[in-house]
Amino acid sequence: MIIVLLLVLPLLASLILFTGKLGKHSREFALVVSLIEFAVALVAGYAFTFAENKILNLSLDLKQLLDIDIIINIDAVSLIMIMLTTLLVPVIIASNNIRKVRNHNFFGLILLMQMALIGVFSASEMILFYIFWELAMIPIFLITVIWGGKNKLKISVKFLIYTVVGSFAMLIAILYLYTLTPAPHSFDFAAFYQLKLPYSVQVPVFLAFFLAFAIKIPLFPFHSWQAETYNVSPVQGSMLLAGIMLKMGLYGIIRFILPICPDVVAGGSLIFLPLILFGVIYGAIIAIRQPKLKKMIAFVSLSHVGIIALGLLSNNHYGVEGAILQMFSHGVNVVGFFLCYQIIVIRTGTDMISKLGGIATAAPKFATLFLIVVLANVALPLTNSFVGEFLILLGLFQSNMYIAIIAGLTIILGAVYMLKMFQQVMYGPQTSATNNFRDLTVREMLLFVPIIISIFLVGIYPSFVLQLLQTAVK
Amino acid sequence: MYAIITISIVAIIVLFFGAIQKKAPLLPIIYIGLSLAFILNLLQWNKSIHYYNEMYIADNFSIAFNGVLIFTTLLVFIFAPVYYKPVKRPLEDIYALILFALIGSLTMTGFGNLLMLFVGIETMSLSLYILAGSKKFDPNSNEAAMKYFLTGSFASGFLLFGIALLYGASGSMNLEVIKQYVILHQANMPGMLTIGLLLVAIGMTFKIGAAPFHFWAPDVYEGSPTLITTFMATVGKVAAIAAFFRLMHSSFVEVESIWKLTLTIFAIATILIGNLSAFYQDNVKRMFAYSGIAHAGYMLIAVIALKQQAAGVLLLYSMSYTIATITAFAVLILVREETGTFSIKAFNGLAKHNPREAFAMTIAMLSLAGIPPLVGFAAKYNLFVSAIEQGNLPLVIVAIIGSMISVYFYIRPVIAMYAKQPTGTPAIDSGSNYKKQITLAAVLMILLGLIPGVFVNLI
Repeated sequence: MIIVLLLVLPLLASLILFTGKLGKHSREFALVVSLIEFAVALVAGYAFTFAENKILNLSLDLKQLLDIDIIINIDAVSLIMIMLTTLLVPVIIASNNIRKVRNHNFFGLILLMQMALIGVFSASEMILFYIFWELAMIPIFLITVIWGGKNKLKISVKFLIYTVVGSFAMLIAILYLYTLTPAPHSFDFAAFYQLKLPYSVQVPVFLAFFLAFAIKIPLFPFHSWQAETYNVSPVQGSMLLAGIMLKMGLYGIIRFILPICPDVVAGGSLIFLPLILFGVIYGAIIAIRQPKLKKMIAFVSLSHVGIIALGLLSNNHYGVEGAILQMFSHGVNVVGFFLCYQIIVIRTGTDMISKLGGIATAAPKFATLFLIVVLANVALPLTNSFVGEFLILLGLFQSNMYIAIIAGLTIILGAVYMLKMFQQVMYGPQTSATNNFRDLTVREMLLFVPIIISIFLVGIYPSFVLQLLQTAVK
Repeated sequence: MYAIITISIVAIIVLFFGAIQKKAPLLPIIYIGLSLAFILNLLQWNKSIHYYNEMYIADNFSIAFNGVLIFTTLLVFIFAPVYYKPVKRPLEDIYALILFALIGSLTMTGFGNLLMLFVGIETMSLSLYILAGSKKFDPNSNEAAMKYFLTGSFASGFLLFGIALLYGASGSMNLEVIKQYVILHQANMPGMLTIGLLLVAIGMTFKIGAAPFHFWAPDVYEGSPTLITTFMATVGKVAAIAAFFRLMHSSFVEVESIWKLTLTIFAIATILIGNLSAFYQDNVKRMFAYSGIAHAGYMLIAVIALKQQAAGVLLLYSMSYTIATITAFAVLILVREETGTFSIKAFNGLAKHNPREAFAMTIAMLSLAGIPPLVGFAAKYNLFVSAIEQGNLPLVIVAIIGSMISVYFYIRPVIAMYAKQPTGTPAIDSGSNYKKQITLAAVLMILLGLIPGVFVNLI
């Protein structure tokens, strides 16, 4: 019941918004709905902790009508991702304080996307999963095409082509696995997990899935859509992309690659781990040199999600646990970062790091919050990233020491680009752009509340999440 | 059968009203007649009546496809007033010919005898040859009619020769008798039957516009009046593929080794040629011609992957293809009327002043591209699954690559409508009837996508 509500509420709300009847109240309506959705997710979490085998399950036999079985299982990993989605969407909706044309459609698309994302994170049937997976792409594509900045056409088409190529590779893999399931064939995840594939079959399946997820995450050779799309998309679009949508790819690794191709993950660490690692370092080095704040966030994100992918593929349960935790933390941190970015851009009208400076003296409250977000991104102890990255590195260290040592370098590089940026933007002499920088209003401060709470909650007391995860990972 | 009779009567009444120069009652009569035919057709559900020594069989397969065909024709007629707005004369000849073509296509889906197949195909094709040239003073239209007629009659020749050889081998044109003959001789097939079958298959491949016999399609589609192109691309194609499916399914399942490989190669070639050629088109009408070719290739997959469920899959695919194509053509007609061009640029900024039409077009494009949760995805997914269960993995991989390519060219009009600046043309007023229909089509595409199982398990 609660699962149905989770999925149907944003869908209905988005349909109401698309009619355009709400006019100026679209934003308030969307915000209220997303807050209710968060409450529903909390109730689901409450129900989950008291569920017998730690799983919320919904299965409807609608083969005659829908031609697919509706099987939805919410386990700990799903629950964490759903929490992340429902926590961030209200922040994303509330952060939009520029009136745009066709406002109601904008919020409708965000809620539609929320529905699709929750579907992706909870579906337990391949085709259902694939439907949600593709559905999640349409709103973000339209958001970029309609409300994007310069060059939006070229870039959004590039984004579309990349994701479609990945999706279809995944579709081929799914259909192929389907033929391998014992007759009568089934698309149920459980049937797929029971397959004991020989190594020679696992390799092509792994490659197809990995292509799909590597594009979505994105990992190193497939990342070139990412920075451009972040740059051209409206800030809310970038938040959705970086905060939640990237997690779809990582979630896919957890759901498909780890259980279906365990031998490839165990044996192939020397082949693809260095590739991902290269991407991690590469992203970090480019981030140091980026003149524009938004592009810098894109490359920082590239570097961070690479580490998460390393953790997932480290073939070690610490690594996987840390990665899942870090998926949550990264979503929160990057959205916090984008919030700061948006505030700076609205106040100063530029996002060139060289044109900014001295904001801290003008806006001490903002400086404090920004500093917390930055330190969380650097993985300082007591912040959420620290726990995740520590566990990932621990896991990596146990599986492959050299990769762990090089991956550890990124923490240093991370401190370099983050603090360098922070110092240039917030300290030093004021520039013409930052002369009249107003400090945060109460409304803007409220936006940061969920971000800051989750940063410290997970940073100081991570064990409640980790306990949930331990059963799921095993 | 009653549906065919009703439509024949309606067509004659239409001709009569044209003869006495009355314009007003034509379309209402057609609407009522087609709706009546639709209902009469469905009333025979589950009865499986055989007419005239099994010449025509009204089983569930033919009733379901006839339902799709009649409904599609009804939609075409609903968009007719928009297309023929500037024309003052009653147009009874064109309307009657469309109805005659429909009768031919209805015959094709339910044939029980190869002669009936030929009669149906010829009734449909002859009407379409004339309709393709119905814009008398447009050289392109004349060219289309000429090309279509020459190549089409050539293909009919192949078909007829093939039928003759099949008759020569088996001694009958009845599908059931041929089936018995094939089962009896499947270990040692006479060459006459093999060649006859291949010739028939070539004729049918031509009619559905699949490679390597697709060369007529782009020019004919582009040159014909757009409304006629819509009719050809939907009713003509669906009727032909249904007939093809019926032929293979009822008589030649046991000897699939003869034709399966050939058709698989045809399907792969069709999908690749259709999608790759559509990739380069700036003319939207021509793009749809190639997209139609590509979809013919997908529908061939259903013929190749014969099994119990495949008919339902083909039905769902036909529905998804026809509704999306008609919607797209309806918007195209509107845009062309205002801007005078079929170029992709004509769509620039359409969403600004015609949001409803732009939305419907978007849904149609996404559905054709096979993006979930629209009906196009459900159709393709079922098709691929039924093919892969028969062990056609390479074919499915090609089909998926084809869909991947198709996303690019289907998304181009969407981008033009939403992201580019309008060229300065004012809002297009399309009339409330048109608006309602196009909204209905868009809603249908979403709804059918939600309950595809109903149709897959129907027949």
